Parts: sequence; C-alpha cells; structure tokens
Amino acid sequence: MKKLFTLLSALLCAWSVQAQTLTFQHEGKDIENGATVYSSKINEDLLHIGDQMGMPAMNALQFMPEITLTSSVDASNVHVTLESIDDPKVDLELCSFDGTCSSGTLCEKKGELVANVAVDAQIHTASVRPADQIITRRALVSAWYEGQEANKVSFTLVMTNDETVLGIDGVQASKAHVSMQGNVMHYALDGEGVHTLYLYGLDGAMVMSRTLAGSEGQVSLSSLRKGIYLYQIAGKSGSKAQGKIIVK
Amino acid sequence: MNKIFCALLLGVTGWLTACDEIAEGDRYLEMPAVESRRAVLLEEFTGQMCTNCPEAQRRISSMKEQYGDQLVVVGIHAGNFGLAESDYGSLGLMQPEGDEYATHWNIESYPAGVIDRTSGVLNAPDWAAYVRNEVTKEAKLGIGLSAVVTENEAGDSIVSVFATLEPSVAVNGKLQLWITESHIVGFQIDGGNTLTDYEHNHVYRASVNGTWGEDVALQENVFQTVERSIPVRENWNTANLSVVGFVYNDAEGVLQVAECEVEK
Repeated sequence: MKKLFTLLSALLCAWSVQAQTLTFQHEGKDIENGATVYSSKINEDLLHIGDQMGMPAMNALQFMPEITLTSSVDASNVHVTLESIDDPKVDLELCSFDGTCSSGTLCEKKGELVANVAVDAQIHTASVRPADQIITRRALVSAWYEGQEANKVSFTLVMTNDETVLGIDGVQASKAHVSMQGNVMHYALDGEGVHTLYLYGLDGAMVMSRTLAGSEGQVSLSSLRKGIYLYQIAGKSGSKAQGKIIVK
Repeated sequence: MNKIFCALLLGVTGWLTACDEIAEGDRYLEMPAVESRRAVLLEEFTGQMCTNCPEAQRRISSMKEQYGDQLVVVGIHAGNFGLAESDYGSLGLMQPEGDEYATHWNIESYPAGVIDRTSGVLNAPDWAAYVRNEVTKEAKLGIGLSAVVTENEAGDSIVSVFATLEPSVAVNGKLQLWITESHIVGFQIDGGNTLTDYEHNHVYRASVNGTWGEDVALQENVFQTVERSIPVRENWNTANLSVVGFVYNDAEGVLQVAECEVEK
C-alpha cells in the first residue's frame, strides 16, 4: 500500500511539473524552445517624433519585436531574462513583468503570470541615432518557473534591419535569380516546366502557394502582413530556389 | 531747573525716537515663509522612454493630493530611458546631473524613488508607506524659501534664490538648491503608446549651488540666510519654475525640504 501511494505521489508530481509550461510567442505564433526568431519591427514613432511638435525629428531607431510569454498555469515568480549575445555585448531593454523598465546587457525580471494569458514581454533595443543605420542585435531570451531553471525555455532573438541577415540571402539554387522590389518578388528560373512558389512564416506555417507563370515573372506580396518569410520555389525536379524575404 | 531738565529730556527722547527718512521701496522687507512642519523629499528617477514611468507619476499625483506641501517631488530624468537635452534639444529633459544622481544611488530600473535619502531605492508601490512614515518625524529645522526672476548687472535674466535656515538643534550638512519646472508638454512613452502631449511636472532642470550642494554648519537656534542665483536658460518657462531647497547629511538623510514657485 505504501509503495502504491509513493508511486502515485511520484506520478502526480511528475504530471504536475509537466503540466506547467511556459511558451514564448512571436507575433502570436508559438516559438519552439531553442529556435531563432528574426524581427525587423521598429518603433516607427521614433523616426518622426519632434516633427509634430515643431522641433527637429527624433530620427531614432529602436527595435521592438512582438514577443509575448504565456504560462499554462497561474504562477507567481516566473523568471525572465534577456541577455545580449553580441560581441561586444550591448544594452537591451526589458520593461515587463514587474512594472519597471530595466536596461543592460543582462536584464532579469520576476513576475506573476495568469494561466493562458499572454503577457507582452516589452523587449526593446536601446534607441540609436540616426535611424538610417544598419544594425543587428542578438539576444538570448529565457523564462522559467521559480526553482526550475534547469527546465527553462529559451530562444535566440535577432533584431535587425540588415537585409543580408533577413533579406534575400544565400539564394540556394543554381542558375536562379530572385529579387524583391518593394513588395514584388521577381524571379528568373532556369529550365522549363511548372514551378510553384511556397511562402512560410517563421513558425513554419505556409502562408501562400502560387503557381508561377513561366520561368520569369513577378509575384505581388503586398497582401501579406509585414514581416519575414521563408520562400521556396519548387519545380518537377525538386527545389529550384529558397531563401528569406522581408515584406515591408 | 527741573523744567529745563524735563524739556531737555523730552527733546532728547524725541530726537532718539524720530522716524528716519526711508525710501519707499525699502519700507517693507518680505521674509520667506518658513516651513517648520516636516516635509518629505521624493527623488523620482524617470525617463521619457520608460513606458512604465507615467504610471508612477499618476501615483505621485495622488500622493501630492494627500500630502500637499509636505511632499516635495523632483523628477530626475536619467539612464538609458532618458533623453538628454544635449542630444535632443528641447525634446529631451535629461540633464547631466541626472546620470550622476542615478549612478550614486545605483538606479538599475525605472521608475525608482529615493525618499529623504534614507529609503534606499524603492519601487513605486512602496513609496506611499515610506512617505507616510517620514511625515510624522520631527523637523530639526525650518526652511524659508523664496525666488524671483531678476536681471544681473549685464542685463541677463537670473533666478535669485533666498533661503532662511532655522535650526532647532545644531546641524552639519549640505544645503541643496534645485530649479524644477512643471507643465512641460512633450514626448513620453506611456504603456506602449507614444505621446507628444504628455505633461511633465516637477522636472529637475538645474542645480543652483553645485551638484551636491554647499556645506552648512548651523548652530542651535541661530538663523542663517543664504542668497544664490542662477542664469535663466533659454528653454525654461519662467512662469512654471520652482525652487526646491533641502538640507541633508550622510548620517540622517534629508532633514528638511521646502519648495517655492519662482516669482516674476
């Protein structure tokens, strides 16, 4: 009887621990533990603030990716950290979870989460001027329940306006050319036959598939939400081209 | 003989008690009102890029309604969430001293408050309880404060500050005089929203007598007056300026604080 009780208790504990789950989201889509998320979202107000006030425009660049955190259970003392992984490290900002804003190369917060209510993590980069700089900031974002750091969830967050990082880079195809002009994708593919364009969000979900007319042409992507997408152009003989694009 | 003596005596008496001719402008000397009740100083560390800071400022407004003149608040813009006036011109409210004060108190997150320089760094939810306790303490001195915009010999506008210190015990410490400005309408991030018409109040603008003040050694029941001045800066609205004056030392923190509007 005692052994049965001990076994039941152990199973119950294991189940209760497993039932507690912290999940980060990017633009509403769950982020897999260990994934890398790219964001080019900026605070556009900071570009022009001042203009409306009769002063020189602020002309500042600040990334503010849409990152939220959800707990599967009510939890007090959920730990969240935001750590710069650039070399040298740079200041980042974390303004959620405890009603204060922290800035530094490592920001740590502790706060309460209500079950299944996504909380905006309010992650920002420190603003820089002028706004036309090309910058990339990389950070490791982690969260864990009190006393369970060993089970933390983490992801790498890349905040950038560098198109070589998130633009059409490494077009993995031979004799194929893909470019973006505004929100129109231009393609020039080698060989005849029918090709299909597939677009995926960063969470892996397919957002568009389009049969391409001919080996050269263009496709308007302006109906898509702003963001970064992975594309794949496939023909009968397999993938012709793949890479990343940004819709602005 | 007696009549002559009395006449002489009356004459001398009349001479001694006759009124002097006093110029009209000097007939009334207005002494600054002395604050003898204990007032409390809240140094609020804040920033225009701090999305959580306006919530703390709304909390301060409630506290001011409750305590009135017994609570003196100074908003010190500092750190990475501040916009430096040197970089952003009139858009920015952060002065160089702001970072010096924030570094001294080791401010790591915003908003943060230091109360009477004895509380350590407190988050906004903890301010009310500490203030409530501080206002009940006995004041060891009174401070009378007045300030007026005048012109110096070169014809430049200056703020002249007059402080009267009335200690009931011997006090060694520093006297700090700050210029603050209220009703500054400008930029602020509030709860994720970017505002261009946010009203900033009690904003630290400058120190009249050095970043950390000047030494004072006060004798029990011996009043001391101090007169200082500071040039008016181009981006100040003199109609909305105030002077905050306080005496503090490292051992006891702020012993007394007072605030007055700058008269024009």
